[in-house]
Amino acid sequence: MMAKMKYSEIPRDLSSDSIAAYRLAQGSPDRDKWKRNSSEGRGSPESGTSSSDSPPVRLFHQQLSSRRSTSAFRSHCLGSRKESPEPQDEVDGNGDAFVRAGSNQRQCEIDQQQRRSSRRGASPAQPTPYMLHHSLPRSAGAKSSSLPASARSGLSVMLCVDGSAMEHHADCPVSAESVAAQLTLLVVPVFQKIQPEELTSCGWCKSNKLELAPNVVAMTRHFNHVSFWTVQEILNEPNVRARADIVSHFIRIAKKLHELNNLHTLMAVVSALRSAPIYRLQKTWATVAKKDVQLLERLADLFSDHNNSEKLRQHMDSLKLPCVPYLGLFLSDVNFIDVAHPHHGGLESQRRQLQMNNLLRILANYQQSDYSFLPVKNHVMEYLRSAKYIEELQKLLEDDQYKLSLKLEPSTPPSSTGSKESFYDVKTAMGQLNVSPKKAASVRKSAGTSDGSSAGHGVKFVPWAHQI
Amino acid sequence: MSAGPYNYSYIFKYIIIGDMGVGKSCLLHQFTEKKFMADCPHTIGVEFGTRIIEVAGQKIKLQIWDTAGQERFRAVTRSYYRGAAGALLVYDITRRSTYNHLSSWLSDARNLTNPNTVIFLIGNKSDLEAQRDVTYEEAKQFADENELLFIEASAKTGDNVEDAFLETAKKIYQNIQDGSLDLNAAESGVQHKPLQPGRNQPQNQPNPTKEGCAC
Repeated sequence: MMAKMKYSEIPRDLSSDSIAAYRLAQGSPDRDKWKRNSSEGRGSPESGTSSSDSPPVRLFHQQLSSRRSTSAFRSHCLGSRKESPEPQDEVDGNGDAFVRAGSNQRQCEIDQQQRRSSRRGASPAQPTPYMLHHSLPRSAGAKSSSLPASARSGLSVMLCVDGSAMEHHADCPVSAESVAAQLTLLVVPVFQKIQPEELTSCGWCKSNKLELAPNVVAMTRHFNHVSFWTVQEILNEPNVRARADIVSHFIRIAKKLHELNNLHTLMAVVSALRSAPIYRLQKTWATVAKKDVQLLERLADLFSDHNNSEKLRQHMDSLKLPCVPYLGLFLSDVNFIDVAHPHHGGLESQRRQLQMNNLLRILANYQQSDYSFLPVKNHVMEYLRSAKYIEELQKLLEDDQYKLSLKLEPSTPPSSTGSKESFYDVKTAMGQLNVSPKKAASVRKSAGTSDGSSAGHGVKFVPWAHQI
Repeated sequence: MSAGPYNYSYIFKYIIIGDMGVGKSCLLHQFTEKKFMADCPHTIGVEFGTRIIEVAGQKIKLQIWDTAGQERFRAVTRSYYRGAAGALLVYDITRRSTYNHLSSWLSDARNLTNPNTVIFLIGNKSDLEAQRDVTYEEAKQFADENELLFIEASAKTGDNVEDAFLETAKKIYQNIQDGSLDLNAAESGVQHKPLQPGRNQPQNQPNPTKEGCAC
């Protein structure tokens, strides 16, 4: 059966006819989509022309309309602030559901941003409507005063730093598991819509990518959005320790994504955590529990490009459905096939056909993934959707993120390690003043380590120190 | 594994970056003598994008990572730059937009690679002189201002392709020799292959400190 087929052990004698026959023989529920070229099949979640036909969007519309507590939820989010009508500036139309945010939440986001900036005493960041903040933290933050510094951050209020026990409350932290599950529910319908021609045409590389490869583009957007959101949530937190907690939480989200075989979103989170603005935050990484850093390393190692992504390919071979593979791997493979066996109109060469078909068949297999066992959690969905992202501004936003990262933890010349004052430097110094180890421990505790596991290692830890 | 008949003393990791459609994979395809892609690219265990070259009597294995196809996955290209000894920054001389984006690619590369990463600017498609949209002179000036090596090449005809890859390797090797590239530093992008007994040992080894060839 298809599900048992291995990525690396694909039979090489399948023509496109036999593949079609094979699909039919499988009785796959989605077999029709491989044959049709109708407008429905090619409905573009990005183009805005037929967005209501696209499953992901429909999914959210249903959720929205069926949500009992939408208005209550909103007013809760907004607190006492007035709901002023907002100008619609959504460049992305109504395509990518994850990208969409309730416009009446924007003022809230802006307010938070301004408040945060002024608290930092820094020049206020532009009150940009595209800033990624979810809309809950204010009132929720007041309630969760048990969460230390991190309570100021939108994310750490929403995300449960140390477990999932409180999840049933409307305004409580959300476990890594929930976030991972909802992220998966967001990406699966997009993934399942990808049409074979989107790949074979290399359409996502072309200027009319939205017509040629709408679902591939949507997958890319999901990826970029998740990475962007991850980076922004971490950078939004001015306090080092709280920031480290958020990093840890994202590492746990990554772990859950790994367990769910959602490699696409996993890659997005992992590469965000290793992107320049986050990776360079030495003080933060020094505060993240070592086990979390090691976990991240293991996850990142899975995506190592070494030997043509050998580890990732082997991992994909070994797992059982459901799975959302990292689409970039397929895109690169298609790209290589295209370079090695170019197609300039007319009949495709047999080798090109063969290799493309092999690849498509594997993809089709993954597209049969069924994640319906995951429960939809509306409040988490709402939160994820409220993260705003405009792809057209991506480069600009990334620059902003890098600048923000520099502001949070300015670069220091490598030689001046003595003057660099990290959280742990201070802590160890405090510990040394106390002769009794017991007392030192209590000092350490009172220093506010919210994560018990990080208290054990007083060494400065930088992620790159472990990557030899 | 495939190291058998070869006895290289270093592995240099390269990345190829630049806009979509500038011919990154074609350059790689050309440089690796059109061998590697004849096989299924997704076959596990097939060594991919590598070639062994010789610099100053030393055999060096180049491992070239090509992000082609994944350009739009921003975080990927941005986080996996790290650990490259050489970066080939490619634009298309017939498409000015690809040239205009160079500064963006360059700032990424500078932010994300180690300071010793050798960056080589390649103006690809030099065979299409009639459609030229970017002059040699202005690109050369850009390269000089940013301290990049620069060459115009054609992946189609193979013109100068070899040179770009080899010159980058020479520069990296030079950096190792004069000590400006620390092999012990994480993410130097260079691995020193430990000597195998019974093989002809390369002469003049600078600090064989790094253990563990990745193969």
